[in-house]
Amino acid sequence: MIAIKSAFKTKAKTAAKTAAAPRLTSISRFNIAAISAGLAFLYLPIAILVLYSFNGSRSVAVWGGWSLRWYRELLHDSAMIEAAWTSLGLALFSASAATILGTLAALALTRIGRFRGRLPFSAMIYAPLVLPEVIIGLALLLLFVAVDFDRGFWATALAHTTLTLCFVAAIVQARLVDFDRSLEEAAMDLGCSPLRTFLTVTLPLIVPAIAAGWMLAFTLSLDDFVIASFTTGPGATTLPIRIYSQVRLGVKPETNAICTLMIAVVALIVVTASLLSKRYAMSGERAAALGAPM
Amino acid sequence: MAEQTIVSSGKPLVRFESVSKRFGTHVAVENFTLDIRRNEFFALLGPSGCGKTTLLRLLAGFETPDEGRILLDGEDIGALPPYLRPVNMMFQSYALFPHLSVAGNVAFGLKQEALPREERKQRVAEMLAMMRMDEFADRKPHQLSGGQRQRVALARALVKRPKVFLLDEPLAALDKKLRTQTQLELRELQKKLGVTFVIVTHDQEEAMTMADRIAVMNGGRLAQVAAPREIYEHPKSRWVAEFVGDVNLIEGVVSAVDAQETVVETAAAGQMRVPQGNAAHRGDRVLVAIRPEKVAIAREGASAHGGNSVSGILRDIEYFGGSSVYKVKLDGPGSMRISSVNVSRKGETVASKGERVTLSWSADAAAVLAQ
Repeated sequence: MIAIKSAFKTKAKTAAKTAAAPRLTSISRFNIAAISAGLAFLYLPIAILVLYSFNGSRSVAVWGGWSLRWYRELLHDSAMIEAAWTSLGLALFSASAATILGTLAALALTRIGRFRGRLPFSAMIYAPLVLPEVIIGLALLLLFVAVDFDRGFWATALAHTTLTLCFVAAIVQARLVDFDRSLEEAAMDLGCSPLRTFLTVTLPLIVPAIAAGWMLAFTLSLDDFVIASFTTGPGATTLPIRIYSQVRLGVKPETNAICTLMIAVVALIVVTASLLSKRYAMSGERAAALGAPM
Repeated sequence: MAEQTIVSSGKPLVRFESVSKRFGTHVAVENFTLDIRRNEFFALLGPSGCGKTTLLRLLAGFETPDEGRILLDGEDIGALPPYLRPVNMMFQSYALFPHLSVAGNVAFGLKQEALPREERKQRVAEMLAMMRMDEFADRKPHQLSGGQRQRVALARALVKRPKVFLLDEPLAALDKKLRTQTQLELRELQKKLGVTFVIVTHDQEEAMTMADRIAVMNGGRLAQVAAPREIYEHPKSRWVAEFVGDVNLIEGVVSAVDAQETVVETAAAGQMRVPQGNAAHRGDRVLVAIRPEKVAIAREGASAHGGNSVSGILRDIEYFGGSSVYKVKLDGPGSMRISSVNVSRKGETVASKGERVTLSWSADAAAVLAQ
């Protein structure tokens, strides 16, 4: 241990002597190794799952050549397809509801100045971000039982709205915080009522953030297992629950196929969302650089 | 200020009547009364935090007065929201809509009016041509230079044909050369359109070069309102004299007053004769204000001209190219700054550091201010 340390020290010293600063930013062997290790840690399990979804063999552990067999079989699994439609419907509904509520909350938090209770409110809206899902799920279950609300599709839709609303609020609020208020004043000065100002100026400018929020909410709802397991009932089995119950009876290659499809959908949405917000951040920066008075 | 005089010829276009505005405990504008005339280029001048921007926002409708009335063409607009006022504003940041093209920005205000499509198009095209922005009509704001963006902001507000056009620090975002050019352009534009311009600025030179009249503000109150020359040559208070331009202030006591002159006994410069201006009475402690360029400097012994003179030692010379500023320690208490144009290209100066000099000025060069 000591030997390694001292060896490292001398190496570091010589490195520092020769070219310390550029060395840290260049594509060194160390950096490549670090990135490879990190990516492998994150994506190796997923890669194996994806790979085995194309496995021709019936056994999960033995490679039997490339095949789309399990995807074809998936088409005939009506229970799985039904679960997929349920999950899709849930995600569409809860993402849309959460986007409307979350955007309104973000507007209120950034716009209505310092109203009484603003600080607790803004802290409270982020609570579901950090609360364990088990607790949210249990709390919702108790609520639904208390008000005698049937567990099933609508209960889960409301639960997912609760979960994803705060994510939308956080994303939209970040956009609104660096929104130039004089743009809205300019619109009013030019003859727009507050509502028209919102529709013609504010909304077009924050719509990328809203879209990104919607997509994140959509994927969160699609992925959720824990909360749905508390709130769903017979006839409203979501895809993650269906997969889990199937896996308990033994991993079938078909499961790999449905999981691969889910990964593809989520990855597509996440990439789109991040591209949207990145493009927006860039144009915002450019505008700020040009617009800043000296 | 008890003696806020309302100078008006005919009916004023804008009238602030005892307007007060507070933000929490901070008083932004206090008991403010002011008239702005039709077709006038009017400047609100003052240091930051003096309430000039609040006044502009009160006029635009972004703030409502706590007390008093704001009249536009004799009509109380104090409670009217911004979108119902025939007033338009150019924002300091320009506030161009980033998601709209240049033409879209200029057309934005007209779209809120029920105008025929053809007329709207024509007015936008006319305005873009006037601002020399017609070839950039399809660009987005972030593709324009600072000067171009300012012209779009001007066009966007002026195409609405406002009764009053408000400009919040319009030149703050431009570099110095462009600023001087734009000052002239704004002035020409105002004369051409015949629209009343109200500009907010903290830069006294900007106000002087552009405005027909200037309201100098301090701490939410009106310090003086007058034409630029009047403000510079006949400041009503010490604060105005010091804020607008450079000034030498000499303390003294009034010893005699007649119809033409006030005689002030000063410790620094002996007896000084000042033309009658601001009212002063025998025995009052006053300040005599003299602008640095009104004083002539010469080596002691050279013939002095004018009615007043005083001697001292030249302490320092600041060279600015076109002119130099001489700092002179007076024989009495205090010192004076004298500004002199460098007429000759040769290196000779009026006097060298440490030499004795005589300062002289004509009787009408100075003004008496209350202390």
